Formats: sequence, C-alpha cells, structure tokens
Amino acid sequence: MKSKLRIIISMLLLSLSVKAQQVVFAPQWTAQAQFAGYYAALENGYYKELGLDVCIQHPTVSYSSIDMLKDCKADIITCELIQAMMTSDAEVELVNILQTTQHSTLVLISRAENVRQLADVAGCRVGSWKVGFSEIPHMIDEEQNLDIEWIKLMNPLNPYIAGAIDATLAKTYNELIAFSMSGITPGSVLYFSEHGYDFPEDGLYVTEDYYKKHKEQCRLFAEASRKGWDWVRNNPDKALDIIMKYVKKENVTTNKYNQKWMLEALLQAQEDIKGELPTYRLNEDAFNQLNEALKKYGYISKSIVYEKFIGEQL
Amino acid sequence: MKRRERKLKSSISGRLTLGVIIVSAIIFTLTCTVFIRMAANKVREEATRHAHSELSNTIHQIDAVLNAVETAVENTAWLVPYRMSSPDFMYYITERILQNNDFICGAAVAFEPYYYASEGQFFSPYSYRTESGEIKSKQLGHDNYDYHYMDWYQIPKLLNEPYWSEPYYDDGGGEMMMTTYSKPLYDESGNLYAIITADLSLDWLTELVGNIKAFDRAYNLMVSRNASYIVHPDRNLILNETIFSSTYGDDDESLVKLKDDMVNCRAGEVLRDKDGGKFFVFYSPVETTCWSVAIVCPRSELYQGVKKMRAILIIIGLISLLLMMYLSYNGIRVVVAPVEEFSDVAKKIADGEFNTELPKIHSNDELKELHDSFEHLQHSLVKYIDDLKSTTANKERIESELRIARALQLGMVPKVFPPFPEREDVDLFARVIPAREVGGDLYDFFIENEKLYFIIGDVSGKGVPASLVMAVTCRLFRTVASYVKTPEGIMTTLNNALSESNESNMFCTAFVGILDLKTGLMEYCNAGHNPPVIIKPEGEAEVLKVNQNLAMGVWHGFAYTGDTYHIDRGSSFFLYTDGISEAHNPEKDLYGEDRLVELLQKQEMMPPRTITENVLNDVEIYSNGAEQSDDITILCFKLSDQLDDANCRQIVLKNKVEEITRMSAFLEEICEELNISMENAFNINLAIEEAVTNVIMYAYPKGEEHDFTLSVRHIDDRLIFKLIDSGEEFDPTVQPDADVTLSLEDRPIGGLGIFLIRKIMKTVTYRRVDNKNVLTMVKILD
Repeated sequence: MKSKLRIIISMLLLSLSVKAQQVVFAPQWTAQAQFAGYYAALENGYYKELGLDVCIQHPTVSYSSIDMLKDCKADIITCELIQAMMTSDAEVELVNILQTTQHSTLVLISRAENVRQLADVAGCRVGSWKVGFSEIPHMIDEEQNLDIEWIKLMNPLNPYIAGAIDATLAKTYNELIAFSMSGITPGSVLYFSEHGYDFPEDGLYVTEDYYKKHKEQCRLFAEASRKGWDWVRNNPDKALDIIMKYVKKENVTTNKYNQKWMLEALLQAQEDIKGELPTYRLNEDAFNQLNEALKKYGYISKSIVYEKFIGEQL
Repeated sequence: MKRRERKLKSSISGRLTLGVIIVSAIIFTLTCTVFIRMAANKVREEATRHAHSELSNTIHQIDAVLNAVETAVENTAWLVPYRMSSPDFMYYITERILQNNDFICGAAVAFEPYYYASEGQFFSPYSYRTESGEIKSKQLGHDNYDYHYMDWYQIPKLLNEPYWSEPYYDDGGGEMMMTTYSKPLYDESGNLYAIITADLSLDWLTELVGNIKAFDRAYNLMVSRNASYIVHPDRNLILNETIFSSTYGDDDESLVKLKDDMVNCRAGEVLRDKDGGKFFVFYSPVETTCWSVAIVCPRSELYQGVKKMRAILIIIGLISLLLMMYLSYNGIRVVVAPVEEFSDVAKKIADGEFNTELPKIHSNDELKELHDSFEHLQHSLVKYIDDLKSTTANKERIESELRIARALQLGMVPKVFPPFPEREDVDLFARVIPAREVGGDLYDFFIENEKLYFIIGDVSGKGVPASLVMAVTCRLFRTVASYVKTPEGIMTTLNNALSESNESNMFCTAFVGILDLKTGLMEYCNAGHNPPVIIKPEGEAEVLKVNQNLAMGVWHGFAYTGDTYHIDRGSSFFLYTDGISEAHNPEKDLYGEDRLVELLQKQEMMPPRTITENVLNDVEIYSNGAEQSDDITILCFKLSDQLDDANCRQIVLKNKVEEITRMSAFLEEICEELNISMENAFNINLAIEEAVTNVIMYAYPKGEEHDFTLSVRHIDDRLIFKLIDSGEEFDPTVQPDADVTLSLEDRPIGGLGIFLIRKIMKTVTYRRVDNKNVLTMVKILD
C-alpha cells in the first residue's frame, strides 16, 4: 500500500516536471537474455512511467560496465556481486540497488567423467575467464593447493573442442548451453552452488556518490527494473522477441534458441532457495560469507558493511 | 435375387472364392511388403553411396585448398628465425605470403608479449588485401585487440601444433567469413615465441558446397567443429546457429549419433524429423579441419521411386485380385452347378417326384459318384415307397378290421346301463377299457328267474388273440349258463371247452356268480381271478374269500369248486380285472389291492356307476400319465334295500278321467320334493298321463269302476314308475310307434301315446303278473 502511494506521489511529481530525468544504464555484457528485464522495462515503458529517460549502452570487450561507471559514462550498471565488492573495496564505492540473481550459476565442465569436486581436476589445464567470475574456484585451488593450470580465455568452447584444455569454468546460462548446442556432451558438470558456494551474482549498482545524489531516481529505476523482470517471468515468449530485437541491434552472434534457454536458466537462478518468486534483495548471510572469503584470500582489503552496501533498500 | 444373395454369402463358390481371395491378398501383401522393404533398403544404400561419393569429391576440393594454405605457411615460416633481429622484416614475410599465394587474404606473425622490448606487449605484423586487391600491412595487436587471447593464437600455443581456427566473420575486413591457419614457432630452446598465420576467405565454400547436386530436392550444408553453420541455404543461420540449436533439450537416438560422429570426425547418415517431415542427413568430415559437409534430403524424394512402385504394385494387386475373384467365383460355380441341380432334384424327390431326371454328369469324378448315389437313392426310395404303400394299405386294413373287431367285441358285452332300469332291487354298471384296439377282458350278466348270472374274466395276453378267446368265453358263458345252473358247473364246462385244442396255451381267469335276487344268496366260483370286493351298507369294504381254482384253459377236466356268500341288502359287489390292481405310475409302482379296498370303503352310498367312475378316476390320477399296460374291466352291482319304503310313494286311482288331476298333483308333489327340473317334471307328467289315460280309457269295460295303482320309487338317479291294473291284458310296448314323419291327417289313430312314453322314459317294460298288467317306466334323472 505504501509503495503504491509512493508511486502515485512520484508520478504526480514527475508529471509536473518539464523534462524526464536521463539515466544511462550499462549492462555488463553485450546484448543477451541476461538483461531481458531491463529491455522489457524500457520497451514496455516502465521507466518512462516513473519519469525516467533510460538509455541502454552495452560495454565492449575492453571497456567494461564498471569502467563506464567509474568514468561516469554510465549511471547504473549490472555487475556480479564479487566484482562489485572488489570494485567497492579497491576503486570506487558502489551501492547495490537491486539484487536479481540469487544463486550461483558457476559450473565446471570437464572432459573427464565423475568430477565431483574441484580437486578432481587438480593439475589439469582449466579454462577461466580473462576477466572476473573465477574468484571462487581460484580460492578453492589456493586453499586446497590443487595446482590447477588456469588458462584465461575469451571463450572456452573452441579450445575445449580442440583439446587445448581439460576442463573449463562456465555459466549455466551461457557457456553450458553453448557447449550443448555445439553437440558436446561433457564428461561431467560440477555445480558450485551444490558445494557450499551458492553466492548471489547479478545486481544493479551505482556509485555511492551517485546514490547519494539520486536516491529516488535509483529507487525508481530499481522499481521499474523489477517490474520488467516480473513481466519477463510471466511472458517468456514475448520477452524472447524483445531480446532478439536487442541482439540484432547490437549485431551479436547468437540465436533465439540460445537466448531462450539462457533466459530460462537465469530466471531459475533468480528464484529463492525454496523455488519461490525472487525477492530482489541481497541475502545478508550469503553477503557476509562472501565478505569473509574475499577478505581471507586478499581479494578485498577490509570487510564491507552490508547496510552501507545495499543503501536504503527496503 | 434371394438365391443369388445366398450364393454370394453362403454358397460353396462364394466361400471358396472368399477364401482364395483372402489367402491371395495375404500372400500378396506379405510379398509386396518384403519386396518394398528390400527395394527401400536398396534405394537407401544406393542413395547413401551416391551422397557420400558427392561429399567425398567436394571434401577433396576443400582439403586441397586448405592443404595449399598449410604448404604456403610451411614454406614461409623458415624466414621468421632467419631475420629475427629485424622486427620490420616480419612485414616483408607476411606480404610475401600474400604475394605468392592469391588465395590467402591475410597473414600475420604474432609474437609473444614483450618479445621485442622495443615493440611492447603487442607485436603482430599483419598483411591483408584491400577490396581493390592491394596488399597492405599493419600491426595487429593493441589494447582493444589482445590477440594473445584469440583462438588462432592461444589454441596452437596450448596444443603446440598447427591449428585451423573455427570460421569467423572478419571484424576489420568487412562481412567476409574467414578461417585462420596458425603454426606455432619455437626458438632453439623449444620456447614458443610467435605464431605465424594465414587467413583464408571461406566465401567460395558456399558456392562449392551449394553446388553439390546429389538429389533434386536436397539441400547442402556445412558446419564447423563447434556445429555452427558455415554453409546453409538460409544465410541468417550462418555462424548464428548450430545444427543442434533447435533441438536443445532433446536427445533422441539419431541426434546422439549425429553429435558423436561429428565430434569424432566421422562420416555417417541419420534420419531426422524436421518441420513435420522426415529427412535423411548424409554427412562426411573435412579431414584437415574436422568440419562436416552434409546433404539433407527429404525421405519422400529418396523413396519416390519406391512409392511409385508400391502404388503400381497395389493397383496390379487389386486388379489381379478382382480378376481372380471373378474367375474363381465363376469357375467354382461351373464346377458346383450340378450340386445345385442335385439340390433341386433332392427337393423334388422329397416332394414325391421320385422319377425326376438327374443332371447329366459326363466327368468321372466326385460328382459322378454323387450322381450314382442319387440314382441309387432314387431306386431305393421308389422301392421303399412301394413297400410302404403296401405296408400302409395292410396296416389300414388291419386297423379297419380292428376297429370293426373292437365294435364287435364291445357289442358282445352289455353296454346299456342301467341294464335293468325297471328293477328296484338291483342296479348294475360295468365298464371295459382295452389297452389296445381289442382286449382280452370280458364281463357279462343277465337275469333269469330272478337270478343274476354274471361273469368277469381276463384272458392271458392282449390284443387280437386274447380278444378271440374273450369272444368265445363270452358266447360260451351265455350258452352254458342257460342249462348249467351252478357257477362251478359253468366254470368246469367253460374250462373244458377252452382247454380243448388250446394249442396256443391261452388261459382265462374268471369269476362266475349266480345271485338270487330275492334271498341275496350268491353262489360263485373263482378261476384264478382277482377276488371281488364287497362294500357293506355300513361302509366297510372287504375282499371276498374265494377258492383258488386254476384259470380256465390250463387243465382239461379240472374240477372247479364253488362257494356261497350271502349279500346283505344295501351292499355293493365290486368285480375287477388286474388292469386295476396292476396299473402303475411312471415310477412303475403298482396301484394295488390295498389302495382299491381303501377307496371302496368310502363308497357305500354311491350307485355302481359312480363307484366305477371314482375307481377309474383314482387309477388315472395314480398313473399320472403312465401308459395303460393292461385291459381294465369293472363290474359292479348293488342290491337295493327293499325294506326301505321311504323312497316309495303310491296312489290308488279309479278309472275315471277326473282322476287325472289328482294324479298330476301327486306327480307334481314328488317332483318338487326331489327338486326335479321344470322340464323333466313336465315331461314326466306328460308320459305318465298318457299311460294312466290309457288304463282309464281302455283297461276296463265301460261303466265299471275299478281301482288301479301308480307307484313311484326313487333309487339313486332313477325314478321307477309302476302302473298296476287288473284290466284286460294289454302290452303297450308291442304297439307300433306313430309315424311322426307323416302329416297329422295321414297318421293312423293311436300309437302317439306310447311313442311319447318311449321318448321320455329310459325304459318301458310290460309284464302280466297274477292276471294284472304291470307297466314299468324308468326315468333317468340328469
């Protein structure tokens, strides 16, 4: 009831303002189903309804969304929690205004069968991303002294097919689907979420400075984005059409089947642990657990305060 | 039409034809199925061979181009270490590759990071062709293009061997699809320092693969090792989709095989469902790169010929079956036509036309046998029927004779009851029921000199022989009884007569009695017969004690002994043959003497007729439908109690006409008392009035006054009127009846009165006793 009232008041205020407030939003990768909620919110006019003039700008391989945020080329970005915490610690303090993905989508695809823990690929060549996403496996490697030869890759698919690597890290919504669509049947797939490393991933972030200046704007953006994701969950087929529109616009090499399954995997990762609808809120326990681990292995220098990190989210 | 319908459905020809057609259809279907299947397999084998032959030609051409690129790089790679000290020389090398090989569109020597300190992290001289064909060079690596992480660099480095990259769209050089051959270069210590590459445009692949014309409606495609389309009729799919994109999540058998073969660079073929149709996919790998070239052909096209063949076979089969049905039906009909004719003949014979001509059979087969059998049947039937006719005629004659014999036999025994209606002292009833047309049972009786002579007998056996003995016995009894006056005498005489020349050993049991009606003393003689039963006035029934003499006809000269018994007035005497006592029910249990005696104990008030009927009814009930096995005969008489005058009324009349009124009142009173119907009462009055008028008018001389008596006695169902006058002797019973057929004018006077009396009364008898006329008239009440 309160939120409805606030929305009505906001609408009234916005209707009085002559010009809508411009927001530049940068997702963390090129156009794909990973950002379907934001595309849907923009296409369905949810941002506009709340008085936001949103512009979506995708990053490039060498110029990430965090770079765009730091350089004030973007106001709001999506980012994985670990990257956000590391950036917050080392570069610029960030505030989480919406947590979309509640579970880890990280997996290890191995040529060998019966890989049940990371230790089973000790001493092997394992593909990892050139930037980010690999911190947890690296921590395990370090802790268990597995002596894994990590090979940083742009895309693990072709090296894996060529036999250049024995295994690779992958995301359920991305590489795992791509492998399957290439006709590859892995020897085994290890889900990190099932081994005590089920940490939240994608969320919406702004710099602390921006947050302080545009709290209401951030809240409205989060509100409309959440509405966008809810719509996608209820209209997956229509959402796929919107995704393909952005994919084509950004000239991304992909196909609708790939995006369909990617969307499904992501929506699944958004649900809470009991399979209920997403809470869109960063889980404090998972955050604190990750905080400890990152600090222990030197990925961050000091603990990050949860309350400060999530701003004034209700 | 009906006959035709029957023939189709249930005739031999119909059934045989149906059987032949069904078996033929099954054989034809099986043969066609096997044949079509074999043909389809052959077609598939041939198509596979043809497809792989086409694929092989194309793949050789592709391999030739790829090998040329490999050779070009190999032939140039030695130059790199030759002038290692001069980084700029590397541009010369890359340009030279392009200059010497037209088909190569780009070449690079990419060094490890900081290999040349002066060149920094990225040093990768690269030469390429512009759209105008000019060869230009540039340094490829920079912050935004870290080639060290590119597949073409990283994979051969990790593998330590040359590598063909998966096809990709060239970012810098426009919309060209390319692949890159990379060869790692090592220093003397074996450390990798650079990768030398050559780029090959793949646009020619589309034309080369697209030009494979294995089948009319087939299309061709080519996929890279990661299953992305390199060549496909739908260009939108190229490098955007893989052949497994649309089937993600499905893992049927053919898909698993396809994946396995492609990942392991094997040739093969699978049958896939796609867009609602079935398609054969023939595929073969390019040896150098392990890319796969495939021909996708609709199954319908492959099996078009087989389908056509199948359609033709089905049409031929159907025509053959129809033809076979027509020929076999008509053929079988011709063969079995005589059978139908025989059927018709059989019907005619059954209808009595025994001389119907048989169908002509000229063959010497089963039909001929059938013909001969029919002929034999015909002859046999004619003979049989002739015999039957003769037998039937004989039978009819015998039956006719038997009917006559029966009538004669029944005529031999008295059958008018009551036999002595005018007698108030005795009533008698008898009944004989032969088991066959004629029987061996007999009875007879007559009254002579106030003595009742009676006999009941049973000749051994049944039917005609017994009946003849019975007739003889009956006749002999009358004759013998006329002069032999004792029962044993009669029996002895009868026995001697019967046993004489008795070659058939027939014998006859009998009971002969002579009852003095005045005294009630009965003399009797029993010759092996069932002893009679006496029903006493008080209701008790008992079997008469008899001397067990031999049956008649057995021993000539046998001396029969008699006995006497005094019958009380009011008693009934019941004689019967063993047809009663030996009557049986369906369970073969005999009726028996005890049951008879028990039944008779309740009959003391009944007249002989009722007693007889009650016994016969009881026997019938007991028999319960069982066939009568022996002749049944009953003779029953009852001595009336003469002392009982309660039933006797009398009026004395004078020979005056006025007395008629008194007489009528007298009769009316009696009829009312006895509850006699109006009609009977009127008739009785009419008859008696005639008789009384006759006495008044003619019995006495005119002018004299005399008395005469009219008495009425009621015994059971009889009213006995006795008119006694002392007038002139006159027997009205001998007077002729009036001829009622004549008109009133032509009829002579008199005779009408006696006619009326005879019509109304059961019997009318006249006796002259002690100079008195005694006219007795008996009326039987309904």
